[in-house]
Amino acid sequence: MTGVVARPDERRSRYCPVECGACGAVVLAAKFSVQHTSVQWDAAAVRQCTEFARRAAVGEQTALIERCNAMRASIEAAAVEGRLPVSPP
Amino acid sequence: MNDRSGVRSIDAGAPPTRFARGWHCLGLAGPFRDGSPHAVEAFGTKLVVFADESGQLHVLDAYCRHMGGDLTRGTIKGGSIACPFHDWRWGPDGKCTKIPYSRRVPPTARTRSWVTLEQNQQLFVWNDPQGGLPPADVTIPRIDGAYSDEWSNWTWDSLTVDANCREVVDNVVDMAHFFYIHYAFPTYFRNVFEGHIAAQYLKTRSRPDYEPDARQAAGPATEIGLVSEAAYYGPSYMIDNLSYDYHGVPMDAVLINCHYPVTPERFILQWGVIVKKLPGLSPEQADKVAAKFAKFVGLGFQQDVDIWTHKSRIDNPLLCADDGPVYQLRRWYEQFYLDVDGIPADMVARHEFEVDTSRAVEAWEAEVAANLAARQADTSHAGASSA
Repeated sequence: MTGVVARPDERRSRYCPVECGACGAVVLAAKFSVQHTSVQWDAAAVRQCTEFARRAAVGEQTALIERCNAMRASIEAAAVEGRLPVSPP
Repeated sequence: MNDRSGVRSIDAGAPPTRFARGWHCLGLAGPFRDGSPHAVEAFGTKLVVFADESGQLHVLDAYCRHMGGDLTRGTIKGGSIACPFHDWRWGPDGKCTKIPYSRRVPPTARTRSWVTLEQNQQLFVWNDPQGGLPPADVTIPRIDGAYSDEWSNWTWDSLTVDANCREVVDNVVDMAHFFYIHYAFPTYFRNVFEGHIAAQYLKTRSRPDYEPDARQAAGPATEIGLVSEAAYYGPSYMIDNLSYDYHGVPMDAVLINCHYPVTPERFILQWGVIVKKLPGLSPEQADKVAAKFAKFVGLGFQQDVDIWTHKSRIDNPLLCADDGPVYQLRRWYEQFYLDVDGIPADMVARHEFEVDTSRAVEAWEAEVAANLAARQADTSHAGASSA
């Protein structure tokens, strides 16, 4: 017991799975508004992402890549098509 | 979290009982090489930093295992640190190398030696409550500008803060405080956490309604603004790559924001700046530009410290839709307080969070306009009465 307590974000409830149109990786995404985006990846999705793989192959760390553009586009499309709700928590 | 009358209560929790696993920067390496032992209070104890004959820096527990003498008040003899109490000599690996008045060094005479690293002209120690060695993949990255004649020398400053160090780490996700505490006007704010790295992408422009002296002197956030790409590498060392406008000229700077814990409720906050030399600037002039920027940063940190030392610790922040990912950041940060084999996969999995700044920008533009109008009215009034 170290005394640290990490709690879940009370705003988490509206996360939905979104599949990337480019590589098929699946993440959990939430949009509190049109501009806001939150994306939870797991290790398998990061490994599956071709954009991360291409950049990692030339020496970049995925942690320092701001985003995958294909996944971003897929999330935006899901929001526009109503598959991902856009609503404040 | 709310009681029966609907009132939200604060869960202050308690600071962790152990110190984060990871590399911690103790400062610029150069000043430790002055031939004397140096004292550093950290990780709930006292450390001694000393240089051997080759200039290599070593860190040991400060208290001599013989009778508890303070090695930081001793002297460096050969490659060992000698205790001022009975002249016991301790080598870089923590072994007692000599007891001049005794025929024999006891075979158990060994103190704690800390693993060190020099990178970017700074000295780091590895803290691991489990006693493990630092894995290569969490090392401190090299900053090319720190090794280049094209860049200034480091500035270096520090503050003692009477709060748990989680307060400074929380800043990684705190978009709105940049407006209220740091005279900046965020227009873009995004975080990415993955593995041992927590990144912050930030764009700000200036607040024309707010011109503290240091801001006027440094001028890093004009209308052209400032672009910041910052990342914590482990629990305590942030490298912030900045581009900003300096009197109409684009400037590149690297800001280090780092800390080490003294106790669970005190830490040493440190910051250092290098700037890329503008064409035609002498090394001395470049150092002055870096010093001005560091002064501006220091002013911001002093404002942070004033908040931290008066606020409540809070384990259950009440967030609105336009706040950053405080809970996700804290979950990322918790990895450094757990045993290595107890870190769940989802704690270090990639998380991205982009804050919607549109509502904030709208509100802040109105606030800035109102402040400017009020100032204009004051000026006209003053002008009229003096006429």
